[in-house]
Amino acid sequence: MFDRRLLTNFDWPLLTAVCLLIICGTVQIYSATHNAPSAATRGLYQKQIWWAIFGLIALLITISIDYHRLIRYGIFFYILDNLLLIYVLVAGGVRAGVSRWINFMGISIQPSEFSKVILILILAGYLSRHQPEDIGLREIICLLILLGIPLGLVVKQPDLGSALMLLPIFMIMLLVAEVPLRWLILLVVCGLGAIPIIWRHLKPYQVNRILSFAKPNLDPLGIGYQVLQSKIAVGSGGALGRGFLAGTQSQLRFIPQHHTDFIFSVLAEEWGFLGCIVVIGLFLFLILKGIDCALHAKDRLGTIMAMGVISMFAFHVITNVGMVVGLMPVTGIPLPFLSYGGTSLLTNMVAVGILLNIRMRRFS
Amino acid sequence: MTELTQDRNEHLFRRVILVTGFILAAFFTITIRILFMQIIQGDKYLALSQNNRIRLVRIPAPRGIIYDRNRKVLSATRPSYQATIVLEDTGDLDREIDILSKILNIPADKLHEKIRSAPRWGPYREIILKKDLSFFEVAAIEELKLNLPGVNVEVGTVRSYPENELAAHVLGYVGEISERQLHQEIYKNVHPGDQIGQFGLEKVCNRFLMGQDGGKQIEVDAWGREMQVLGYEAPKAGDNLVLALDLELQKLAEELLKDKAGAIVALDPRTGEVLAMASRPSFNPNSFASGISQKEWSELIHNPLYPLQNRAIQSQYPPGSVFKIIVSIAGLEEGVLSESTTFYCGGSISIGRWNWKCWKKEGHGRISLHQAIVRSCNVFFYQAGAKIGAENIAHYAQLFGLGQQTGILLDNEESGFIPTPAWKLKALKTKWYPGDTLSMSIGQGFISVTPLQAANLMATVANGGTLYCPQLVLYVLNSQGEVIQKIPPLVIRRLNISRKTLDIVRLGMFGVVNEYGTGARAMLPDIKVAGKTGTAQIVSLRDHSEKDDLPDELKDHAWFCGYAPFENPEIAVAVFVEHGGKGGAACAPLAREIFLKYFQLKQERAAVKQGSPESTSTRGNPETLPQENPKTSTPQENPETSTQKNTKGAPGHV
Repeated sequence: MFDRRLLTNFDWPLLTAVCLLIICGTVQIYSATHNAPSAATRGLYQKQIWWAIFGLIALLITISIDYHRLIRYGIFFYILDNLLLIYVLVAGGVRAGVSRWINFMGISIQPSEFSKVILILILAGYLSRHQPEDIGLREIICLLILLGIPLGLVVKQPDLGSALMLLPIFMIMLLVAEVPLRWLILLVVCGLGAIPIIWRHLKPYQVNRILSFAKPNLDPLGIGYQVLQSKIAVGSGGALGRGFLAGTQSQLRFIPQHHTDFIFSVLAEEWGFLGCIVVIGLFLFLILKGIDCALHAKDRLGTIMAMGVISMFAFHVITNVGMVVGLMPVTGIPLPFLSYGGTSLLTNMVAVGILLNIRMRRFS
Repeated sequence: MTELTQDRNEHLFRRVILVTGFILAAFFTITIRILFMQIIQGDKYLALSQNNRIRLVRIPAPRGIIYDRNRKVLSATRPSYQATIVLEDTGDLDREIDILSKILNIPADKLHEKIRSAPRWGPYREIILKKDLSFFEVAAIEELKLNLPGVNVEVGTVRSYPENELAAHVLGYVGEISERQLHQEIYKNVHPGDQIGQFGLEKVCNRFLMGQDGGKQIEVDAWGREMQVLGYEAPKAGDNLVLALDLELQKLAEELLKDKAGAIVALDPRTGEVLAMASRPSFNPNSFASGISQKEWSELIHNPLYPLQNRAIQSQYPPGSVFKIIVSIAGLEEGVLSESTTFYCGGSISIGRWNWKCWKKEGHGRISLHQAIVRSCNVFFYQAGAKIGAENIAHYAQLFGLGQQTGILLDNEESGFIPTPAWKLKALKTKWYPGDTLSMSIGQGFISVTPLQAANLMATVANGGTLYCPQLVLYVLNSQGEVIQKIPPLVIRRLNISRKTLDIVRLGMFGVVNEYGTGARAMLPDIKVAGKTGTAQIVSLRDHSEKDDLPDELKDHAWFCGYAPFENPEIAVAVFVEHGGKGGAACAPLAREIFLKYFQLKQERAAVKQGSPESTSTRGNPETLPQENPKTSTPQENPETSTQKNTKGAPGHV
C-alpha cells in the first residue's frame, strides 16, 4: 500500500507544525486547569495527550487510504454521523442545557465536530462528479440538502456556532469547485434574506450574545463580562507575557471555559505577543501549506477537498481568536489543536490527514 | 483538452487566490488587534488585571406581588439589609468570623460552613451571610467596619406576607434554591443562593414572579469601594398575580376554622374561580422568607396536625351523605329513581348477613327521594344504591370530577378515590360484595374526596352541569400593573344531566337547609341556601351508638357542602372539619357564616362602587364563559346562563 513515492511526498513540516500546535495547546490546558478544584479537571491535559495519540493513529489511517476511496466511503460516514446527531437529540447527555454529547464507554463524543469533515467529504465527492457547467438548480438543491441535514440537526442541539461553521466550508468548496458565480451570489442573497427569519427563532441567550457583541454594555454581567475579562487577559500579556503559570487572569479563573473556547487568552496572557505570533504563525503555515497542496493536487477532487479542509481550519481560527480579542461575538467555537476537546482534536487530525493524503498522491 | 485544462486551471487559481487573500486579511486584522492590545494598550490592561479592579454586583429583581381579587396585597417584597462577605478582601478571616458570629448570633462554625458551601464561580464574589438584618445588626457591623474588611451591609429584598398566615397554603413560601433544583432546566437562570418559590403559588408561578436580576460592572479601589460604574443593567421586576381569592372571605374562612383541623373552599360556580381556600392548622410563610430556623422547621414538620398540609386539596376522606347527591343523580338519570320513588325505612335493613342501620334508630317510615335527601335517610339510599349498581354510581361520580385531580394550579393535589368492582378485584383480589355498594351509596367505605372536589361538585350541580377547573389566578400583571395575561375560566367538561334531574336534587338540597333538614343551621333569612351535610365515619358503620360521648379523635369527620342563592347561584362552599362530629352541627353554621359574609361584602362593594359596572371584583360575566365541547353543550343544559343574563347589570351584581 505504501510505495516509496508516497513517503517521499509526505509533508513532514506540515505534520511538525500540527504537533507543535498540539504541544502548545496541552501546555496551556495544563496551565489553565492545574489549580482547578476538581481532580478530573486537573487531569484534562493528560486526557488531551491521549486524544492526540488517538488522533495521530486516525491520521495514519486516513493517509493510508487513497482519498478517492475515502470519498466513496463518504456517504456511509455521512449517514452514520447524521444518525449520531439524531441520537444526540433524542438521548444525548445534556450539559448546560444543550445536548451535544454521546457517552460511549466513558468517553464523551460530540458528533457535531465530525459533521465538519464529513461534510467536506460528501461535498467534494458530489462536486467532483459534476462539471461546473453542468451545475444547475437541481444540483444546487442537492447540495443544499446535503448541507441542510447536518446543519439543521446541529442547530437543534442547539449549537449555533458549530452549525454556522458549516456555512463557510460549504461556500468556499462551491467557490473552488467553480460553481457559476450567479449561483453563489444567489445563495448569499438568499442567506442574507433568511437572517430576519432566523433571528426570530434564536434562543434568548443567542440573541443576547450577538447584541452584547454589538453593544458590550448591554450585558455587562454575562457575556460582556466574559469578553472583557478575556481582553484584559490578552492585553495584560504585553510583549513577552507574564510567564508560564503566572497569568493572574487565567490562574484566578476570571475567564470561564478558559481551557476550551478561551484557551487563546491563557496563551496570550502567559506568553504575550511573542506566543501569539508563534501560534498564529503556525496556523498560517498550516493554511498556506494546505493551499499549496490544493493548487498542486492531482485532480479537481483533491483541490476541492483540500480547500474544504483549509476553510474549516481558517474559519475556526478566525472566529475563535476573533472572539477572544473581542472582534467577533462569542460563539463557542474551539481553537483547532489547542482547545481542550477530544472529538474536535480527532476531527482536526483526520482533516490534516486528508491534506497529507492529497499531497502524497499528487503524482501517483 | 489540454487547452481547456489550462483555462480551467487559470480560473481555479483565481478562485483559490481569492480565498487565500480573504484568509490572510483576516489573520492580519487579528494580529494587528493583538499587537494593539498587547503592545500599545498593554499597560492599561495590565493595571486592570493586577488586582482585578472590576467587580460584578448583582442587583436583585423584586419578586412580583400577589394580590387578591380586589388588588389587596397578599404577598410582596420589601427591602432589607443583608450582611455579605468578599473573601479576597478580608484580613484575618477567623477573627472576623468570630466578631460576626457575636453580632449576627450565628455560631462561628455555621458561618464557616456557609462560606465553604457558597458557590465559587469566580473570585471576588459576595457571599451572603445573613439576610434581613435587624437595625442593631446593621449598626454593629457599620461600627466595627474597620475590623471587618471585606464585610459589607447591602440592600437586599425579603419576601413578606402582610397578612401572615392568611392563605398560606395557597400562596406558599419562598426559600433558597436547593442543590437539586439548581440542576433543573426550569431554574437554569437562577443562581446559587437565590430565593425561589418552594411551595404553593410561589412555586408553581415562580417563573412569572421571579423577574430578571440586573447588575452593574464597577471598578473598585483597593479597599473595595466603588469608583465608577462601567456597565449597568437594570433589574426586571417579576410579574404580579391577581388571584381569584377574596381576602375578606378567606380571612373569615380561616377564623371559622380556628382551633380546628379542616378546610373550607368557596368557588364561584359560574366560572370555577376559587374565592376562598382555607386549611387549618396553618403556618406563617414569613418565617421562611429570611431563612427558617431549624427549630421552627422541626416544629412544623413534627406537628401531629401537619400544618404544612393543604387540607383543601390533600386530605381525602369519605364524603358521607354528601355523596347521596351523586347517587340521586345517577338513579334519576338511569331511570331507577324518579320524583315519586319511595322506599320504606324502618331504622335498618337486612341485606345478606348484616343489618344496615339508618342514623335514625326509629326509622323514617315510607320516605320519598326528596325527603330522603332532606332527612339524609340511609336506608332509602341503601335500597336505591343497590338498584342503581356500583358501576353506575362510580360513573356519575367520575363525571362530576371525583376520583380525579381538579387540575388546580397547585402542587401535590390528591385525586381522591372512587372504587369500582373491577378495581377491587384487581387491587384487593376480592370480589365486590353487595355491602360495598351499600357503603358506597351513603358515601362511606373506600370512597374518598378532597374538600376542593366536594366544592367543585357543588358548583357543578349549582351551575347546571358545567365542571370547571378551579381557578386561582385571574390575571398576570406586569410590574407597571398592566394586564399582560388574562386567564379565562377552563371548562373540564359539560355534563349531560337533564334539567329535571338537577331540579329534583337541588330542591332536595334546598330542603336540607330550609325544611328543617340536617343542614338547617346553614339557613339565612334573606338568601336561599341549598346544601347537603355529610359525616365521614371513623367508627364502624354498623355500630351506631351514641357518638356524642366519644373522645375527639374518634369523632367522625364532618362535611357541609352548599351553594347560594338557590335560584341563581354565585357561591358554592365545602366545609370540612376533622373530628367535627355531625356535619349539620359542626359545618353547616360555618357555611352559613361564609354565605352571609359573601352577600354582605357584595352589598357593601356595590354601594361603594355604584355607577361603575366595570368593577374588578367579579368576573362572572356569562359572555366570558368559554364555549368548549359544543357536542354536549346545549342551551337547555345551562339554565343558569340565561338567568344570569337577566341579572347582569342589575344593582348588586358587581
